[in-house]
Amino acid sequence: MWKKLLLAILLSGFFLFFGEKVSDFFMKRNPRLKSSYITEVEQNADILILGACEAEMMLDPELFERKTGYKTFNLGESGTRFADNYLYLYQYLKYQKRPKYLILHVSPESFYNADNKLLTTYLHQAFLSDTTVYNVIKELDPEYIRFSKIPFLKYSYYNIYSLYNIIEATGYTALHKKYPPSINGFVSPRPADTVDAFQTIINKVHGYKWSSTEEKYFRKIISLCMHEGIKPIFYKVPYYKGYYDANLFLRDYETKIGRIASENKIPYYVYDTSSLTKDYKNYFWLVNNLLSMKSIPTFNNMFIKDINDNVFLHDSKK
Amino acid sequence: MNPGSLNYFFLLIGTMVIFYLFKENKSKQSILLLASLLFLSFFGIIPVITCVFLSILNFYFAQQAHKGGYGFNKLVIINSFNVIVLLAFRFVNELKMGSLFTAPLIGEQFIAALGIGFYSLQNIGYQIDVYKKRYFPEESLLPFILCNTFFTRVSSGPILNIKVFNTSLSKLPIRLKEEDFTVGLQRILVGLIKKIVIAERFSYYINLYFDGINPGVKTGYDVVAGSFLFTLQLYFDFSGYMDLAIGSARMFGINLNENFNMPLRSQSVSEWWRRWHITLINWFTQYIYYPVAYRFRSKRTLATILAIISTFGISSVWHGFGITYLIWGCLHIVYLIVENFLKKDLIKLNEKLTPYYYSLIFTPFTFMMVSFSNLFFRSNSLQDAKRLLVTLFDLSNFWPKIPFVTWLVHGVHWKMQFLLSLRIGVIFALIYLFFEHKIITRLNQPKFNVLLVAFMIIFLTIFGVFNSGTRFIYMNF
Repeated sequence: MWKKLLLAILLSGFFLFFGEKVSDFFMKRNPRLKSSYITEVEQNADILILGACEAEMMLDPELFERKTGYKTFNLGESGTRFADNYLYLYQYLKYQKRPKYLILHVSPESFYNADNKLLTTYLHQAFLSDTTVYNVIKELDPEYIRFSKIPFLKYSYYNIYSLYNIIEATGYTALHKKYPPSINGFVSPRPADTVDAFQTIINKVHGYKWSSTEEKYFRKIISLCMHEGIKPIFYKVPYYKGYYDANLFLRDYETKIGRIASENKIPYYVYDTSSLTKDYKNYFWLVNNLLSMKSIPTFNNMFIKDINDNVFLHDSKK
Repeated sequence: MNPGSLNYFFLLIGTMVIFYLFKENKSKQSILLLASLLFLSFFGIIPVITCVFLSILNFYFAQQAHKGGYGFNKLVIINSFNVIVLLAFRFVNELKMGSLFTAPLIGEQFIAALGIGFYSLQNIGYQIDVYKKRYFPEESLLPFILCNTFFTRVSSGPILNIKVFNTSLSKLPIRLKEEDFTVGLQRILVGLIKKIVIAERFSYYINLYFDGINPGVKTGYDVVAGSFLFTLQLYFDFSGYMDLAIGSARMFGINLNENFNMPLRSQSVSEWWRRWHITLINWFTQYIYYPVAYRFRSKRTLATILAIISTFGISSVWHGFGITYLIWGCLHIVYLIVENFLKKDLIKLNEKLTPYYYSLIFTPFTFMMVSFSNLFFRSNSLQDAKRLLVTLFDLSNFWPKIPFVTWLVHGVHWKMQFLLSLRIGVIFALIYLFFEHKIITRLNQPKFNVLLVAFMIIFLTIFGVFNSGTRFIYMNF
């Protein structure tokens, strides 16, 4: 009986170990995953955009390139936290030419952890063999590291996301696809189909607590930029006025972020007083801080003009 | 410690190793009791104290009452105490945590007295049996406490008959038999597959339908999908737990009662209740339904109706105090009463249609009726339930306003990962249900099949959703 059990364990262990290696191969080549895309395809970007959905969906590299002449790549990813952004930047610098500027979305929400999620682990699982990636995951998601020692659980632990990614990666590899649908990393938001319901979520945020771990990784991004000679620029997308007015404490946290930025001599652009914020049709779906396709060009032009005048022109004069 | 977690398996394997080192029955029982108390202690000190205290109290009360003549007054006193303690914990939990389904995970005060709903019923039944002189009170305290605390089943049943359980405790195996190990391991693996591979995949959508601030329910279709998915989730989650409990107990040579008998194949609601949560329904039948029906036996149909009302009235309170549980209970009362009136016509219809076509109509119909009642069972409040009902019956807004092909490719919601996961879950669930009888037969075969076990491990590892860490649903009760 014990021999049979051992044989069953060995047989399944071998199969799963092999499956993990095959998945590693495909996942590292999945251009739909930005962490894989930047290791495979040369970008040569002068401006790197980083952050969560406010970066991925709100800043259009094409507009940046047209107005500034700098090649721009959007490395933003929905749902990510500062630790993810840090690992993305680390990976980018490991495989790509160093950019001149890093544009990072920073908002009070970036430091607020409602669901205690500090890392989107499944975005980095193909690179677990890298010591830096491993150490960050070990610090922020120790349970995952515990499970990842079992063959294939490195992927199946976050099965809902990983299984889809593996299938997608396999498809892309099989079809010899090297590029994702959006080559410059920008993902446009969906049309605001349910915009009528917008008013329903202008609610008060309760129990807001500044996360020290978020701050730690925020500062790590700054240090990495300083170390590599990259100039960081921080910005915050304009929040819908109703939401902003209902949560006045957001201003205090913005001041705190501004203080960290000025300590490091980094410009921080906030647009909450712009006229955009008054019309809810400028917002995407049911979210207070995501702009709709209608307002993205206006916001981008406003932001690009500011950094062009205050940072890029200033630097070029030097 | 969630049953099915890594810690649970460390406890199970550790207990097995020590258990089989000893040869004496008493020592084996002591080891099982220690392991059970250790398991309970992971949820805090309150579950340990409550469970042990209630066990000791019931044990000595039955003995003393039996010696001095067990009168009806004594029975009322002890069982009132059992009921009050049970209700008090329920009340405090619900007051503190609101909806049981959205309560935080293990470690919170929510599960202040883990399993109390189950072992309280056991103790109440035990007192009634001793009072009715169906058997003598237990003589030994250790197996009595073990029956209440036994770690593989303490959190969600099955509800045991103390006398029957103690019979299997009196002849624990000296060595681990291949049959016990094989069947136990296979039941554990299939339980994990049901929970981690299938039920967990539905969680995201169920939460979206029932718990979201911005609920995913926009059309009647969403309500139907939500209620069907919840019924499937409940079955795979709960029966998965049962497989785990029964399989783990089998490792110690203990046979626990089955709690499910392919309920999704039921052709009527009464059949559903004969196949679903069997030990709970048996308990209610024995201690509520029969006594009420017997008491009003002269009234014939009225006796049946009163018995149904009292059984499901108490069952709904046992599940929780919320008005939604009461509506759920009332719906089942209505279903069963209507079915009782139509019994003869249904038999005729069965003969007319032939059993095959009858099952083709009435199996999905029963599933729909049960799923409809589950809308209330799962809703967090009456307002939520009302919102779902209004959406369900707004026929102008039943189908999603997207083309069929878009629905087929992208679904209603926009996260492809979740959509794929849900569809995989549904496919696996249907495959399981289709081959359920064959799978159950295969799992109970005593010969160790290397390929089958390896396949189950691989399948579980590749398709399991390990990160959600949600407890089994019936641990809420």
